[in-house]
Amino acid sequence: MKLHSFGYLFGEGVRSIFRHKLMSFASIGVLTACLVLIGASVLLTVNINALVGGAEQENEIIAFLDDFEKEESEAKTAEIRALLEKIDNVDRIDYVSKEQALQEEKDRLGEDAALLDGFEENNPYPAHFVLTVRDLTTLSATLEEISSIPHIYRVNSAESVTNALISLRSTVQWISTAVFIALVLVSLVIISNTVRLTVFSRRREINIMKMVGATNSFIRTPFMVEGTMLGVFSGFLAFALLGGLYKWLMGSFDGMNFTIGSFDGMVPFADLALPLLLGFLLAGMLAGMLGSVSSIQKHMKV
Amino acid sequence: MIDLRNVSKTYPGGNVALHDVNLHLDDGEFAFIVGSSGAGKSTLLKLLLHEEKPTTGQIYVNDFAVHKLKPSQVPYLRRSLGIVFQDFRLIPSLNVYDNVAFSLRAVGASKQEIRKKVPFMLELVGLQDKFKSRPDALSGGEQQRVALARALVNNPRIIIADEPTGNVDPERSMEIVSLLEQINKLGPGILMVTHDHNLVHRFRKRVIRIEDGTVLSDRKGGIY
Repeated sequence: MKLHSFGYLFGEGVRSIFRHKLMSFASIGVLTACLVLIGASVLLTVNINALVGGAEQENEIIAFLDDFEKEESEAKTAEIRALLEKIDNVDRIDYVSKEQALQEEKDRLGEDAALLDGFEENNPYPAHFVLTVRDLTTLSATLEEISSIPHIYRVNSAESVTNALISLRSTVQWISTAVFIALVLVSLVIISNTVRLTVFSRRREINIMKMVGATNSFIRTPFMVEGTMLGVFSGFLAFALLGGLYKWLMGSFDGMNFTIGSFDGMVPFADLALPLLLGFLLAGMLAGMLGSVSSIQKHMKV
Repeated sequence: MIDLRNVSKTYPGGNVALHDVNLHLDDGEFAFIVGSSGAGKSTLLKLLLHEEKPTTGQIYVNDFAVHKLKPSQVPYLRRSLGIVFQDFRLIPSLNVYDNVAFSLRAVGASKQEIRKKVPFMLELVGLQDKFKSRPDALSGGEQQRVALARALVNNPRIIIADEPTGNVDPERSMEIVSLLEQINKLGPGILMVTHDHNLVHRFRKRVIRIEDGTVLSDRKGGIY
């Protein structure tokens, strides 16, 4: 295709958006609505994952240690720490000495801390390691490994809570994937119908082009340009709408002082903005461009 | 040049539109195609334009073997033809100038070429003062003249006109055929389908009569 032809066809694509205002408006409306719905489902999934992930982070394992003689305590503890560090799935390792354990208990009791007076000499609270794991799905195996380390006499972990969290996360992932696929399919049907309607209303124009000897690429290019521009515009619009809605919702949650585990509110929009914008622009462009090309194909066979 | 050799066309469902048609039109010739409705005239034009393919037989139009033309070659066949329809088929959103320029743009003509050729064509069809008008602001006769300018602007070897006077009053019809006759003198051949007896009688060109899918008569200077 010659350069001046491309310039003309590009301009034709842009002019066509304004020439067929009503259809352009309809296409933008449909595409934006679909993108907002899909984007909302993605944002919801991201937030539920963050919520579950936050709760997972809070899920600690406590490995209680035998009492050691004072002089050997430090060396033995270091030995055990080294063995714990060798376990791949163990993430964070914090040591709590007997004295710290007693102090923590006193802190917990608050006003009643006096009950523990005198225990310093004969401290019943064991030294322990507080651990977190990277992958909760292999928790049982990790617990077994920890238990097998010498001088660890007991391991505490809320395994049932963990299992509930894992199953919640996988359920959320299944549902959100299903909703995402359903929304994408519905959107494709709606978008292709809208584009088909647009192209149908201009089949006469296409027919004239064919009759005066225009090549298929000459006919297709303005439609592709138009579809792509409408898609990009819809992408920006959907981003602005969803961003506004998200920030408004975040504002509402802030007011509630909402905290679950380490999850203290919705994922900040700044963290999601770039992938969301790029995703919208790409999806909008592809839907607009491919929608136009596939719908126009039928009218090309003259 | 148009050459049809033993051309038949049967539509799916068994409707025979053309049967064993042989026809030859030399470069620069002017011919009317006449016949009653459903005789096969429209099918004949569709075959020439490669809108339909023949069931059997060979079709040659200018330098193209239309019966075995590849899809990628169809635009080039159509560029060698100028096509005029009964319903004008102008693009309503474009003004007269752009409707004529449309044909040139479709073949990748440069801006300079468009600026040179379009005013020339509009002058030839007598619409140089209406270049800014939209098609709906023009009379039927004027719209057909725009369509004629559009058909001519790419220097076709043949103009194919499908009842170009069908939507135009008798006086304007005479003007349009006179214009076609003038154009014919400049070089291009003309193949015009019509129902109008008066026009055929008046212009005394070659008359090809098609009935029931066959060529019933083919006479130079004939009447209908």
